[in-house]
Amino acid sequence: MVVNTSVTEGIPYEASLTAFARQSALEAGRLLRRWRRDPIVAVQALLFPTFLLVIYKLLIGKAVLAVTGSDSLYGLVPMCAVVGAIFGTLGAGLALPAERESGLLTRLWVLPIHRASALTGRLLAEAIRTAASAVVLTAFGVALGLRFAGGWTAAVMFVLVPVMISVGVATAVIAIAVRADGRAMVTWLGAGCVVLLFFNTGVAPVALFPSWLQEAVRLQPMSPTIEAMRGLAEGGPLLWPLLQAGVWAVGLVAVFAPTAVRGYRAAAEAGCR
Amino acid sequence: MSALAALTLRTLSGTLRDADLLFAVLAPVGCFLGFTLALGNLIHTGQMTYPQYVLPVVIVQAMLFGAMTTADRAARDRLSGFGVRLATLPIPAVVPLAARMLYCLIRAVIALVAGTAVASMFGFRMAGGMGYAVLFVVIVLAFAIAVCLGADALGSRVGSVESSSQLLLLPQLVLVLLSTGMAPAESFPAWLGPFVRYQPVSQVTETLRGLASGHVSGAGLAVTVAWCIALMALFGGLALGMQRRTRWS
Amino acid sequence: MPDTAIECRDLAKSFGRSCPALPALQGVSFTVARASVCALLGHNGAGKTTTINILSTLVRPTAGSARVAGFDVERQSAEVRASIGVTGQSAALDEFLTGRENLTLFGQLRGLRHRSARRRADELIGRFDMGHAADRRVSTYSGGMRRRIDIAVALVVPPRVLFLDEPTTGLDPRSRRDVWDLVSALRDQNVTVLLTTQYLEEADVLSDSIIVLDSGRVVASGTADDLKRRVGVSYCQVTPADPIDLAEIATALADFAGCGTDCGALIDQQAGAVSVPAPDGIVTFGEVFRRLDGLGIELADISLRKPSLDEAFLDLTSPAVTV
Repeated sequence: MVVNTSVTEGIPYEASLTAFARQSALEAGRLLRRWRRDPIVAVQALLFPTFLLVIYKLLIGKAVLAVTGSDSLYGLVPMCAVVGAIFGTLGAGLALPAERESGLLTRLWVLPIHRASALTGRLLAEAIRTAASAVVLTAFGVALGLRFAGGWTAAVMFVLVPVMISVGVATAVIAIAVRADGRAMVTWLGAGCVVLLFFNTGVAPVALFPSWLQEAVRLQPMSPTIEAMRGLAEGGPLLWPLLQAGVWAVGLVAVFAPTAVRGYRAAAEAGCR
Repeated sequence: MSALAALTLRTLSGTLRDADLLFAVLAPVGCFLGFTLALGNLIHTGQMTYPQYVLPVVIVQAMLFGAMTTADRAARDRLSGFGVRLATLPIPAVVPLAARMLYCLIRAVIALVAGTAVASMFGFRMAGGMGYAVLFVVIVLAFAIAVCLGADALGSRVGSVESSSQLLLLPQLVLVLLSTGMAPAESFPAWLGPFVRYQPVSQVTETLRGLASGHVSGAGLAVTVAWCIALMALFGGLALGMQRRTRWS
Repeated sequence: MPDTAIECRDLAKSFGRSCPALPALQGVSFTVARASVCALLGHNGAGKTTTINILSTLVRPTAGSARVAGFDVERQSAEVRASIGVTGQSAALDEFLTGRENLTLFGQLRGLRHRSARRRADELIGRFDMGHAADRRVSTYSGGMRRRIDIAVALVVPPRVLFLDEPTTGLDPRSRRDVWDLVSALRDQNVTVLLTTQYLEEADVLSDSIIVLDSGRVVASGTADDLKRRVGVSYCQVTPADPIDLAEIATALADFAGCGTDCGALIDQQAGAVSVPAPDGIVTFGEVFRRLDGLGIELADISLRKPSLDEAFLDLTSPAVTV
């Protein structure tokens, strides 16, 4: 079996920025293609939030209209977009331990590419997936009656806002998923996020929560994103929630990025014998 | 008989590793708190307090969660090397299934206790007396076994471990949230009324709520019991059939 | 490129916190010539994988230095990575992608343009005879196919040095043969191959040089014949038709082994044979045969054997420490 080894000899190591961007794009492409075929990610990132949207609208639509006077969709569509972002990331995070065990991370680590491109590529893929599922959800929302007070520009910003929080959450999930006990930890994190699913301002107005809970509901990472999106659609306070959401995103990245980088490297180096 | 005990113990110790029993406690507690605190002031349930109203559906939800993990376990037992070896042993095909169901029962009891405990902290009471309380428990456990059998049949059939529980997530969402267990039928849009009123989860939660409060309609009770028996028979047959099929088909 | 493809000098590695402070490598030095095949032998835990990890820039050595394809692994790790191909013990591929997609992806990651990457993927699929499976997901592949695509990925841009970690473990004899043919072909095309293996036959057949590791140290190196010669000389093995005759044969051949009257040690009960050293090779063999012929004992088999690599290996390394 003769393998042609004379052609394409000596591809040099490229240290340029374009190479870095290209390699990040390749990793992002690989992950997006993989997620399209992975049933867990499809369910959690797309089907689950869509179902949730429709079901919640049926369950509390009338009640919210009666209490607040406005359509529940303005809270539910943002909430489901954020749910899709977070749970999609969790689903993708579950795949990391498998990649670690099979040695795929190691193999990618040993290529002549920028080592940071593995992580930037992953975050890029997360952002794209979040935006895509947000678009789908918004389309559903519009079909159900959602309208944008700010027109097309507001709609475009609407689908981009959840990307912020998703990058922050993705960094945290990567940091956790690359650990040796990654699969279990991600499952626990998922359970924790289910709690967030109930206690946010998208599902019910803050005032209806017991008073001792209201501050927590207002401040948890999902709520400012939801409020910012609500502001874009309905027309309401926008800057303050957007700022809060930004702080959460930046904070998560700042806290978890070092661990994520270190952990990814350790996972690629496959620990010790 | 000892094979049954051994297999049940093995299932138990396996789940200790992935904290399934801990989830069995946390899921109903979490759901109850979530529903009560977030939706309690939003949904109007007339005379009854929301905790009293919503507990039955939380219990039913916990049973469905248990069914999801059963599907996973059944898939793993079938696909893994252990499952293949089990098939070569001289034990009747029903024994591994019975072991999983026994575990399911244990889990169901734990979830029931946890859910009722947290609800009673918010004012839930079994006002119907001893007889009704016993009937309450029996129906819950019968329902649990029925859905676990169905999940087991599904898990034994589907290809990979991951997809089995995912498939069950969405129908569960629909059945639980769009039922009178969450809110009275009037809170839903009118066109949804018939579905909400007559779907099995609604039937079961209505009966359970009646048993808990002491006023239960005979017809409702009969329908619920009929559902449980029918599902147990149907899914039991399917699950057993799955066990007997050769692995390589 | 210099004449030595791989050079290690006093490589040492100990893993600190999470693993017990057993040094994985303690002063490993060896060289591998260009366009040759070198086999790393050793028990599990001897340090083979750690050595490969250091040489592929995955892990930094605690002490010592190494050069691969003329580049220093610590200071010029990027250049090293551009010159090597690596395969691990289990096929490290993206399970959700097809074989073709995996090859194209790795081609692009190695710097090929999309079209060249696709062309190269097609070429490799043809050479490795994987046309029928190339567009199926890797998760559906059999063990042999996975290994083939795994090696193909390592070759997508022809490396100067190829590291193969236990490349034929778990393969059926035909697939193993295929891998051996491939390795030999690569050597003929100027690629240096460093492989680890548990199969001594593989090392014997394939390699130009062998390095034996034990407890993190090099205990022997050389060609297969060098190692066999270290352990001992050829020996003559006699198997009687009736095991009862073993004692008589042993007494008759006592002077060959120089063990006087007590010659129980010559008898191998399990094999049902008597073995004596044959320093003069075929001459000794002739003598043995003549002597036994005179005794009139019926023989099932008589042969002249070289020491096997198994014996060399077992002699050179200590019993495996359970890890």
